[in-house]
Amino acid sequence: MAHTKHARWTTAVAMTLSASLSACSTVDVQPWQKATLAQDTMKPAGPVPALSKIDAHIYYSKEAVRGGNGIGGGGCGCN
Amino acid sequence: MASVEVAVAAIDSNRRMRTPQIFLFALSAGLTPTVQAENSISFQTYKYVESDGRIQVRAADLALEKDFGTDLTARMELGTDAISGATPCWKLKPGYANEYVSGKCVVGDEVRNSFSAGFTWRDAKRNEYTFGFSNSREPDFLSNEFSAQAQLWHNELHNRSYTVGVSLQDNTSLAAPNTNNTVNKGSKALAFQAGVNQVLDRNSTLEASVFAGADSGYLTNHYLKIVRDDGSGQHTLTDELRPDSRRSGGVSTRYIKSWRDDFKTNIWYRYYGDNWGITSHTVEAKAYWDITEKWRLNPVLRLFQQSEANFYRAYSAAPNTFASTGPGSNDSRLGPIKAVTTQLNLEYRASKEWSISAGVSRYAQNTGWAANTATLGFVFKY
Repeated sequence: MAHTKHARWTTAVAMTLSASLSACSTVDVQPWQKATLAQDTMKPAGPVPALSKIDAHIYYSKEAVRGGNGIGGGGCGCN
Repeated sequence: MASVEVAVAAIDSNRRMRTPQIFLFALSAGLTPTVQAENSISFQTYKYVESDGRIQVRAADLALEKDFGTDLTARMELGTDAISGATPCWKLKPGYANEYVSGKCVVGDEVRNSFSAGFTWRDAKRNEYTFGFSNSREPDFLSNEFSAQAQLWHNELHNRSYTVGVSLQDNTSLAAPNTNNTVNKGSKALAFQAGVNQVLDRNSTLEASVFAGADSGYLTNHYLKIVRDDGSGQHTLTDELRPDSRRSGGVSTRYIKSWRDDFKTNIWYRYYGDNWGITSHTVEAKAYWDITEKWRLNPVLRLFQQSEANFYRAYSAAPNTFASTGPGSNDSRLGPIKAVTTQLNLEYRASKEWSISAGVSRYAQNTGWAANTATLGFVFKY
């Protein structure tokens, strides 16, 4: 039952995300217009990626949820 | 967590365009062509203290990144952390032969060392292929992971990219004097993520991903015990037991926006669910505010919620014991959690090469339990 509910949730949210992404009004940004996008603060992990890794390690050791934030990173016992 | 992310790759790829392309773009923009190296050394150290004095962690992390030409980037990271303190456990109730009460068990000082390395290769279309390996060693746990990811551009404008990645973890719970097991037990964790990143305009990007995980093998915490009730009131202290398979999945999305030259926001949402009965929502909001040319503030707010696993019972629950067979755990990490993280980082950019950062963070769960973290480090780019 929980799995079915989870599958429905995942499908609904995935469809919403897909729809919102495809419906986004986008403009063709030329390479010379990407000065802002190229800044460190526009990266997912920010200008100091190690800080996000520290946070992720703490959450990994205190919560039962993983994924959604990229591939890789390694594991730990975190008992 | 050495995540390889779509938008990073998108931006890095633009920055690492081949020299002739840079020259042409620079000419068209009326600029002097320059090629910037992306080599960097990053060092971070932090101290983590739980509010009830349960666990303390001191840790340090060194990361190196170096470009070899425009098509290859290598990364290496070394980390170490030292853990000490105590953790919840069952203890024999004084004066009783088979009654147990929850208490705290001292955790022996433990050091974890980790190493990771990887490289990214770019083809003529600037598509990126990243491969990584990581190793983590503790006295009672060993983990090795291989990962691979491809990031493919939709067209030559590089405004949309598609990413697909997979990783495989091989974990071993090592038998040690304080563990439940007398022999090593292994598990595997397979993870998959696919996503699309879209540049919305010259000031914002949107990323959407789906992810899935398949864990199998010994997924039980090899320190924890549970109390089983045989139905007649007879209690027995035994090893906790979790299912030997776990399937998980979810979706995530990230929106990054530059509101002004000196103010950016980064908002991330994740929905997660698994066949242990856990579902979860996470929202994280970060802001970057350049208060002066050299000083930057970075406040972070994260809201987290998860439901409990269907074989979980809290130490304080009634009943808090389990049937004589089947899975069962009192591990609060499998319980219902609502948590708030508040964080403030301050970065001082001393020069184009050097930046120093310091921060404080508080992670508080609705049970009243909380942890505080202080960080200090630097990044040197050359």
